[in-house]
Amino acid sequence: MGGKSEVPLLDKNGKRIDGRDLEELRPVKMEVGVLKKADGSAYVEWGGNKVIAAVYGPREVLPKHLANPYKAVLKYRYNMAPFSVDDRKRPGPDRRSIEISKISREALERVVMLEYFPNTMIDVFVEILQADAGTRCAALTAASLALADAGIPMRDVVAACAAGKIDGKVVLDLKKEEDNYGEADMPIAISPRTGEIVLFQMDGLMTKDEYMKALRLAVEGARKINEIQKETLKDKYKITNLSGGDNNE
Amino acid sequence: MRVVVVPGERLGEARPGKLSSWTFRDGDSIYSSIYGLYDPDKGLRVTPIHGRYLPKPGDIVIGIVLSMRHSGYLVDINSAYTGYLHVPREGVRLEPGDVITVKVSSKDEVGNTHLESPRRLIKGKLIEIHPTKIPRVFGKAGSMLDLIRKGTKAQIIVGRNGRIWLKGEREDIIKAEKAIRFIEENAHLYGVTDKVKEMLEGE
Repeated sequence: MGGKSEVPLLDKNGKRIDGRDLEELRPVKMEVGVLKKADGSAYVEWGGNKVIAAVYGPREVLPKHLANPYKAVLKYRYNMAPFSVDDRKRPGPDRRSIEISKISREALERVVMLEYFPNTMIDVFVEILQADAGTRCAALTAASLALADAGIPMRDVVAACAAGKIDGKVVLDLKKEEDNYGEADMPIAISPRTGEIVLFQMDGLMTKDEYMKALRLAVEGARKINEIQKETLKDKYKITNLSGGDNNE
Repeated sequence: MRVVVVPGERLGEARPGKLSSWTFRDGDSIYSSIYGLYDPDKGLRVTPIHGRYLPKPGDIVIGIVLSMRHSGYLVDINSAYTGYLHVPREGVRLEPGDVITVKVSSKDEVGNTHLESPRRLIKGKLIEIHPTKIPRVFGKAGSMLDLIRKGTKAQIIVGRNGRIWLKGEREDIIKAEKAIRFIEENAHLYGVTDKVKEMLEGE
């Protein structure tokens, strides 16, 4: 990353390798309540990414010395399945997944109303079943859906999206080849109600103008993702009348 | 008319006075803090769809005795917090694993939950549903519960923490559980009472 790559990532018409426009998201599919044992869960398919998130809690803190009498403890575990990438990924936490877990947790701590549940713990587990770049965004998107599904009070539903630079052009939502051979990648997460940025990372090099454009694109992308999140949550419960009468119960 | 709201969704303009639960204020607006149901005709309040039980003084809950302490018992009340039941020397004797109904006597700001008035439940069947659906099982002034009790002749005790204890003839228990599961699944819909009535009378 950094220099211009030898692999062409844009064709003559300016389309990307999967036929997308520069400012187009990959197809996204979401579902909530996919796991019966968890208090809340969500499944997200984002292009080639397949991510499942589960939330347990608020529940008793273990180990006990971590308990905080002022607020709940939020735990976030980002984990890649050994079969999620081309080469086998060595199972267990590594430098990368520990970092992603930390920043994602801090992003969620900004919106989750932890002060409601002193001396408890909220566990968020995210498993990457299949990876195709942008897994931290997909994971965080799934995690905030699962938190909402678990009935945990939040100030907002966090949505994430990445923008980057390939072949000298600023683009939205990089896929694996674009991430590997592109010039920059910038994942962000926002709290859509306030517009706050709750997660921000960048790898590679961009000029100030490119950076401003990428930021705008990523925020717009995250807002689109947030719309899908809201739709998914609302579609789960369609309000109808079982007996066909008036809705005045 | 009920609508589904998500965390951070705007409900309306802020008014003076106390905020209802599961809402928060930011600037001039009131927002929902939870995934729940909102009825604009019934004021700025949200009913959660999911969520763990939080102990509230006065609630009758069904607990399972976990272990013995010096002068009482630790009781699992299906919540983030474990309840403590103080029993005086001459009080009831319980064993770990016993199922009891207890009243929440107090809960402090760090979650310590105290229980009182234990009553052992012997035999019968214990089922668990989402604690947020319990008000629907009760119905208005207990109307839904009366309906199930009359329709099945089963003895039913409903705990606020999502545990329901059923006792009676096998067929009655099966029938009652079916009705309760139906209410749980359709708690967000209108016309549940009529359907439950049909279900109970149809068999």
